[in-house]
Amino acid sequence: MSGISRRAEAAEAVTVRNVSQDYGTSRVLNGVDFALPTGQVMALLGPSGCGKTTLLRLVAGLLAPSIGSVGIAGNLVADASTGFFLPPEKRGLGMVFQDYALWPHMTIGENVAFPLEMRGIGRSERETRVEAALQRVGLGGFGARRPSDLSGGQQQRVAIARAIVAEPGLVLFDEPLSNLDRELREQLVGEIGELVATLGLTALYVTHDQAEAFSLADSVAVMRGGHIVQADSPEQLVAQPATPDVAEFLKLGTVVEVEAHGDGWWLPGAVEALLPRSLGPAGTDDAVLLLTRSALRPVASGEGQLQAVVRRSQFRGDHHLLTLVLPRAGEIELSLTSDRRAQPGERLGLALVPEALRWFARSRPVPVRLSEPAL
Amino acid sequence: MKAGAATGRISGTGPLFWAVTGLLLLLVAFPLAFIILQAIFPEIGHASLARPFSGMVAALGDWKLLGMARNTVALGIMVMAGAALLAIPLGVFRVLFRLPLGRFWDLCFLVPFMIPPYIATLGWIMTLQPRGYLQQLTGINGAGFLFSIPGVAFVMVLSTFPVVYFAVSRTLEAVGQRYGDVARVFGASPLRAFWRITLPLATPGLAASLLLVFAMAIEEYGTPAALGRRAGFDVLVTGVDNRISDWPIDLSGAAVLSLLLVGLSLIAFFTQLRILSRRNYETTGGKPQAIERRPLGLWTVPVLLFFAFAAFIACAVPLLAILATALQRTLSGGLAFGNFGLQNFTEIWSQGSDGLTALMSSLSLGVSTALITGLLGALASYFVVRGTGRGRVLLDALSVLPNALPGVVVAVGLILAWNQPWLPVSPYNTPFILLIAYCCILLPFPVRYANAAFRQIGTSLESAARVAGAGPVVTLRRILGPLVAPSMVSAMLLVFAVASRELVASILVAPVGMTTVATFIWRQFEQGSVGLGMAMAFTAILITTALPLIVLIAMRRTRMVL
Repeated sequence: MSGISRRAEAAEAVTVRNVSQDYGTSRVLNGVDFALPTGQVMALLGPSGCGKTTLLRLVAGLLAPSIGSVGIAGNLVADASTGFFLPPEKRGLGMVFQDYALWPHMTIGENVAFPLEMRGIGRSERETRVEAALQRVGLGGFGARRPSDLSGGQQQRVAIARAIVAEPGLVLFDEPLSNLDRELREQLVGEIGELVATLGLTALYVTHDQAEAFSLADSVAVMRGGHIVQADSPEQLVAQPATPDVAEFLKLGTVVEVEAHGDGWWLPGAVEALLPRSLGPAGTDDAVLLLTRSALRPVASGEGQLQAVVRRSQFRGDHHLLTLVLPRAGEIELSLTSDRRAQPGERLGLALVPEALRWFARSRPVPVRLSEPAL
Repeated sequence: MKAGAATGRISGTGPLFWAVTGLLLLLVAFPLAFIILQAIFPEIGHASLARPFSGMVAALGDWKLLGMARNTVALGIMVMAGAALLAIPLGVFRVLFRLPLGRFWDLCFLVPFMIPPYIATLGWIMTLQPRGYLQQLTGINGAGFLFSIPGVAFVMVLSTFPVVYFAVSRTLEAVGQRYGDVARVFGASPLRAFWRITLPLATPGLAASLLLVFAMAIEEYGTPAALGRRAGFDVLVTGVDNRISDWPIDLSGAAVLSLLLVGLSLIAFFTQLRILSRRNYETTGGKPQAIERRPLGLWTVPVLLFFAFAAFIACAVPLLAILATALQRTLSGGLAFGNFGLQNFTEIWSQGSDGLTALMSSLSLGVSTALITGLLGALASYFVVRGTGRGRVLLDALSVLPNALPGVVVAVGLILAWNQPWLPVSPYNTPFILLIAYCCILLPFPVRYANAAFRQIGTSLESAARVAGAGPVVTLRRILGPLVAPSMVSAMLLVFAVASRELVASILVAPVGMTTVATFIWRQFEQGSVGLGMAMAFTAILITTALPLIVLIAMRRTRMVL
């Protein structure tokens, strides 16, 4: 209930201001800033070690920031400059953990009832709400069982019920699905999405899985090396990645460094230009180019702007994933989807779609590597 | 044989299996059987089954027995309660809070394991008796307290509470803190999270450790013998001792009391096993997480004083009292500078002295016991954990049973069994009877270590060796043996340390004219030179601590221990 009424006020559910976090001498978060509007879901997406879980623990109150401040529902909950720190139990949260963290000495019902009990809600109301929450996650009637009797997927459903039963203003998800196998993961992503929509939850969702982030979140904050590189809607992230790093992490295509010579853009060491100069940015001699999959279209050998040789072809169920090299343009590897199988060594022409090319200013060396298609 | 070959294991019915089973029958079942027989047939010593149950009726009808049984349980409960009261707060502060010198306190609380309880008791007697060190230093005479029931419990708490301290620390570290944090996210205050989550999760580990303390307390001989007798406080262990060593000798009574004691130990032991197997949360957690310890703030100084006090009474007092006594030329001279000297130590270490002979006897017995129990324990455990034969149930029972056999009971069993007139040969009245006693008492350590080690090794390692062409014996020697060796060495070092200071069985079954470290200390204290006894006690503590340490360090150097 409170979630919905707060949404009407359109207050910001979470505000993180210039937060940095040190563990000993290493800085795991560096100047993180973001705001999460009430009623929205934000995913913190990044590889392991990028600081996303640390950021979540800061919001939860399991850690105090070294620098900066955190606010929840318009109230300051931690401020490093004044030393103010509101402990986790005063923040009115729900949280789902990677390892479920169900208390093994309590039944399922007692686990789910715990947040209500802490809020001083009477026994009979507790029982109704616990059963309702368990039914929401498809585990009605499981209250008397023990966590150890349940499978991993069921345990995580219980953990979700425990996180939403008290209708907290903010729910935190800490890689909730990464201990589960793929099929179960896809099923639970759907169920969580439904819950979030029907309950109008405000949630922060930490994950390293871009499919999870894209299907659940209104906005996705891509994290790298302790800071947020880009925070945008999933569509915007794919259409306009802010940096080559983001593009690479989201596996949007092949990222290469190119240099302008004469009237073409060249890969280092190439014997032939990759693209005509006019397709790239003016006024600079070097750039980073993202060759998205939609920027390349396979055509017959000898046609198109680029000539490629097939290195491998893998069948992926509904398409073939081709790995190609451009022998005359610096031996870079590209990947491409095709609806027919190709033989290693086969020659292909590639037609360029200029609108689908993404150009970045060159700031630091970007390693050239093979990319797989986004899901 | 087929099942064994299919799973890459040795069948449980080979000659080696029967050899191990036979040895354990002789070591464990034979003496226990004669306690039971003696309890039923009082004339069994004369090869007669006359007047069955008459001894048992007489013993059970004795009102003293009821008192002893009640005293035993009461002492066990008092020691358990005292250990809980002291160790739980220590463990909680150590794990959940940012305590200065954490590792140092852990080390301090390991010290009581190195001081045998009877030696610590003698140290406390030297400190608190009339004209003892406390009175010499402060004028306070603590004898009234020490030679009383609470006094007995107090000294035993100090030698057992580290068991609880380390158990509490371990369980809290493994489960409590992490789940407690989760409770806080769901709205529980720190205190509530502790009571509702952290403490209940730590309870099984805690209860198991307390039951272990209970078992240690009811089986202990030295402390009640030295302190309780003067207070008129008899427990089952001292009752058994009285019936065996004081006139009139009452073998049936001793056997009945022994069985009662074994019954109590068995209850404690199996309750402990049950708790640990059914409600152990230590393994249910997810990935281990670093603990966020809370600052102590204003409480830092009081808590540190509490730790220092515990360490002082548990380690410093007994050790200093022993050392001070050993270093005094004459006890009547008191704690005066001119009265200190190394006389007692030089006397022990002089060529051919009684002390040196006793030391050598104990050390060689300790080494032999370690080697025998190590090999026997590893093999027994291998057959139990990895075997397939039907006989392994028997072997399992035989290797677990000594857990519930106090030293005094083992001694009674050996006396009864090996004095049967029909036996063609008997180790009785030779040093071998001590070796048998020590092996029976200490077999549980290697078995426990080996069980844990074998369970950790995946069966695929054995299967891989078998597939690669190794037979069962070669697999055991080349693959499993080296993998469990580090655990077995640790267990054997422990056996060595305990065996070379064992008291009660040594007193009861040592052959005429043979002295061990413990009987030397005990007799010197009772009727000889206390200083000499304490010099031996200090020497024994040093040697039995230093030798295992040296071996462990050497092993680490050669990378035997990872």
